[in-house]
Amino acid sequence: MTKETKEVIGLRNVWVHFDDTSGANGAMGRGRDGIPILEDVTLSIREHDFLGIIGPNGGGKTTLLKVILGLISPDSGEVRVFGGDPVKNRRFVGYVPQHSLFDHDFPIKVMDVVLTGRAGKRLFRGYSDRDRELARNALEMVEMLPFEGRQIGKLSGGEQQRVFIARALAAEPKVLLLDEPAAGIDMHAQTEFYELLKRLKETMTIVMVSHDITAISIHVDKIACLNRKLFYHDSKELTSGDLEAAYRCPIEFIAHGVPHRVLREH
Amino acid sequence: MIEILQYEFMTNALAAALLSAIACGIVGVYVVVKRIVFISGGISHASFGGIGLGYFLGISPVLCVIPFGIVSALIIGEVSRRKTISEDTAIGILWAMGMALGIILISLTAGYAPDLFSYLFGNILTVPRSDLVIMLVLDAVIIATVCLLYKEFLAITFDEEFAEVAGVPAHKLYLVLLCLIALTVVILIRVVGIILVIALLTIPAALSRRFTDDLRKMMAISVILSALFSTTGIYLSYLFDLPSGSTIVLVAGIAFVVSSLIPSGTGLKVLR
Repeated sequence: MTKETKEVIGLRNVWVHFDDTSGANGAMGRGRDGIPILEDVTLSIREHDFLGIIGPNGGGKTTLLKVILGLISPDSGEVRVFGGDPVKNRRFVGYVPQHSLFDHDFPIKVMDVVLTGRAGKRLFRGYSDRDRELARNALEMVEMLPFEGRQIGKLSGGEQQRVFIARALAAEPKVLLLDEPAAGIDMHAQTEFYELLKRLKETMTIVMVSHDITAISIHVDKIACLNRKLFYHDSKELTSGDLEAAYRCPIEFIAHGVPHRVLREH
Repeated sequence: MIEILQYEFMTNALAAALLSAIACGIVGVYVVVKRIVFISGGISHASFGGIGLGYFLGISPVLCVIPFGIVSALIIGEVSRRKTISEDTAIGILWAMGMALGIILISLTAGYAPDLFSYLFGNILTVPRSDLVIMLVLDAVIIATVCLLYKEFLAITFDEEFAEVAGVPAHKLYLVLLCLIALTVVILIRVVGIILVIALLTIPAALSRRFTDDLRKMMAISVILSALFSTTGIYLSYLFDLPSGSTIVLVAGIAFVVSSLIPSGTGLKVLR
């Protein structure tokens, strides 16, 4: 573990409170009075890290990614992406949202989905030849080029996942953020997906969040645990105390037989 | 059938049908794929306030609907982002307030409002030439905007949040899209009226989805279908002396129901 590598994403004492819009007495907006969803999160992600963030549903994993993307601004604390403002430096960050959340019937073809990754590069002008070349390369990289003319809803979950990764890659990011990438795709597709990440991590920093502890822990290089508070030691080790604190209940964890262990021996 | 074309009101009606088909065919596709039908309904009903304002000020009600519809669209768009109240609540409130304001303004205006009914339910057979010019100009604005922003609109309608991350000013462009809906409402008022606008914004576009997976082709098909429904409706209303706006809407609705009975995948998607 080299400590000298550059920090690409840094969060210092970040607090985000729950945005309660569904309350019976109307709304209260986000503010310091609400329920905290991220509590004093401090995190440093370095160049070429392959970080997995695990935690229960509702533990703030998606919120954390959105804070990094500048889609949610924290109520307090500091977020720096490539040393600057997260909104300004979004162009270095590729985002793969939870893939099941899109409209499967939307009339759009795979190639056009991938091109939207470059939609903000030259506003109010059509896609350039270079945009199309990069989109094709991205599809090639995820082995989905033969499907470029297919309507997006007519692909399997695993194939859609690859297309959304290609969409993020088309923007030539330096960091890739993935939200629950393994959810809803079958075992075979998952294996291929982790193979793909293994290739991608040679050239970029990858952060993925998941509630699936075992799958993620086999593949990533570093692991953190998030349930409002973040437990992270800049390594692949978490103490059983971390997990208990994060999941708020004791966890039986079998580390034997797993190539890289998650739990410290105890 | 040809002899009915010698009447000026009939040629005007056909021109209005074609001009409105362009707007609702193109913008309707965005309404349907982005699933903002209810928002569009809110904008069109709130626009009734503009009709009332026109009567009150003694100027063209159709012209008054333009700023009124755009302001309504911007309010709905902003409220939906701030999330201080839920979006559909906000739409419902604006929907009713616009209508109420329109009715109060009309009641404050001295005299009888003779063609009020035609603004509510449309009367394509009484479209004056001056309104055709307004429709033509608004069509040009809509076509130019969609040509300029096609790639950005596709990005925000498919995945607004990702588009924002990819560097597209998603919310501002969403407001532009809502303004285009407001302009389309203005064009459609003469044809089917404020209350029935939503039919022509949704039916042709939803039907076109059955023929193709491509947004551009959907727009083209939806323009053609809309023109077909309007002209058929005009002809039937002339033939049987029925209210034209409602006849057009029923023609479109029946076409949609009939096509829904045909199972998908029976060679409908010829234009892929």
